[in-house]
Amino acid sequence: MQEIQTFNRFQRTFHMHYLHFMFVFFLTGLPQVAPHAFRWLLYFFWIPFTWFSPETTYLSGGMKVAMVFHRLAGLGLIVYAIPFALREIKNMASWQIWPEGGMAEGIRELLKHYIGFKPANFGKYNIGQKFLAWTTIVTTAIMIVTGCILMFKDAFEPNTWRWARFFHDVGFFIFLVILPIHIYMALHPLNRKGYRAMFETGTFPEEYVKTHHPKWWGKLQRKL
Amino acid sequence: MTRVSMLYDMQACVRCFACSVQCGIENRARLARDGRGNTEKVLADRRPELRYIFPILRVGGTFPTAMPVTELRHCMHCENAPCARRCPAAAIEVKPYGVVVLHEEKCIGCRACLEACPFDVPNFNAKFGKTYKCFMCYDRIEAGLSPACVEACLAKALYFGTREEVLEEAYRRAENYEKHLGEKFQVYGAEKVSDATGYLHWVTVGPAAYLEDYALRPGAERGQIEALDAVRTIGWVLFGASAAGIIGHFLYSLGKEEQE
Repeated sequence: MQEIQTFNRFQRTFHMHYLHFMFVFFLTGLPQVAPHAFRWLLYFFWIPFTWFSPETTYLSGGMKVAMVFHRLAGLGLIVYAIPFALREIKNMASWQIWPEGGMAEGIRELLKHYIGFKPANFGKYNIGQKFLAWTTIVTTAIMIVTGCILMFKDAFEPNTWRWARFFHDVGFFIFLVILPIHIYMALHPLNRKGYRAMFETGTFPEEYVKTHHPKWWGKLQRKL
Repeated sequence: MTRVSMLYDMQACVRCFACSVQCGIENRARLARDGRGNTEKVLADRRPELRYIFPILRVGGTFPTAMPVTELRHCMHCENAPCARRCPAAAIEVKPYGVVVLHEEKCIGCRACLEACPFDVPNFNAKFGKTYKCFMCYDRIEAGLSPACVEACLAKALYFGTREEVLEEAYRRAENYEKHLGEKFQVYGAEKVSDATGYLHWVTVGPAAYLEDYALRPGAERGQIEALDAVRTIGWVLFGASAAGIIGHFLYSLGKEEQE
């Protein structure tokens, strides 16, 4: 059976590492966004650190370590996101996340697939995925900009920190709402082929594209 | 222990700032007490952040009606203390008697409290990487003494007692001034001043017309602080809704197969 490339290697590794970065961001960020509920997480950051600094407590030492990890992960993400963004912008013409077919039709097809459990008339991405993609792009940009302001506080006024903290929180809650849905949908049996494409092969079987992504198939045919 | 409060009476204040001087002395005595240097050392060090109550000079109004305004800056000891809610290291403790205490040894210098404070009170010292603010001499209070600034005040403009005593005294003074000066006086902080802060354990008596000139905002709102509280509430609700949707769809999916 012929396979059609869905994600290239760079997209798949970037997705994988964004997942790792997110893991670090959440673990180290939760004690800052909701200190009273998630302080216990700090204990795990503190334990190895006590060897260097025995006079700290799990709160002071753990929080400092968490903040350092948070910033290092941020730095890592920025360094990694720049070449990824440049390459994606270069290939903008082949993006499949532009709107197609209108909102009402998009939602109708989404319901057909996820409530009716029938193959729907999707492009490469359905309307939910397109929404997720744009939200992730915009929110990542917000997080990077506000994160840099909070990381280099001394260069800004306290009022700027307050706005940065506000938008950093807005971004966090956007991710907190959309990521569980994204992860659930990725693990759902309806999307086995999508999971396989992202984490294993990078490809869809041709038959699957014909039946489940007819709009995209049409585009691919016209291109050939 | 019942709730305690402080009263600052703008009308009685003679602007000698003995309170500020005494505060610096008391905090240096604490350093010596805690074995962080002998008396000479702690007095020789320049530590402006150790004066937790201090004047800020500015000019109010525009020419020709401009006048110098001296704001007395100190911690308001908010009921809901946004700084204590935000501090990730739990360095800020709200005592059961209402005093908001910043424990220096637990502070990690992240400055989340500076962001959280609508009154710009916490003072960050970059050299030590720590933040300092008034803790209303809680060690003295617990030992049955008044805070140091109250002891120093020669005009009885600072008054310390239980919350009931202080509010009674504040209203009594305001009424007295209104009667004699024919001007409206306000007891700032007796009631809630904003959603983020609640009422204040440091109430101020002053002429209502001038409160804003002295940086006492009748509604001590600061857009970003209230907005951050709101987004944190709304965010968790939305997260709950998304989690409920996921669980609902999962239960719906059970036993279903994709139809070709």
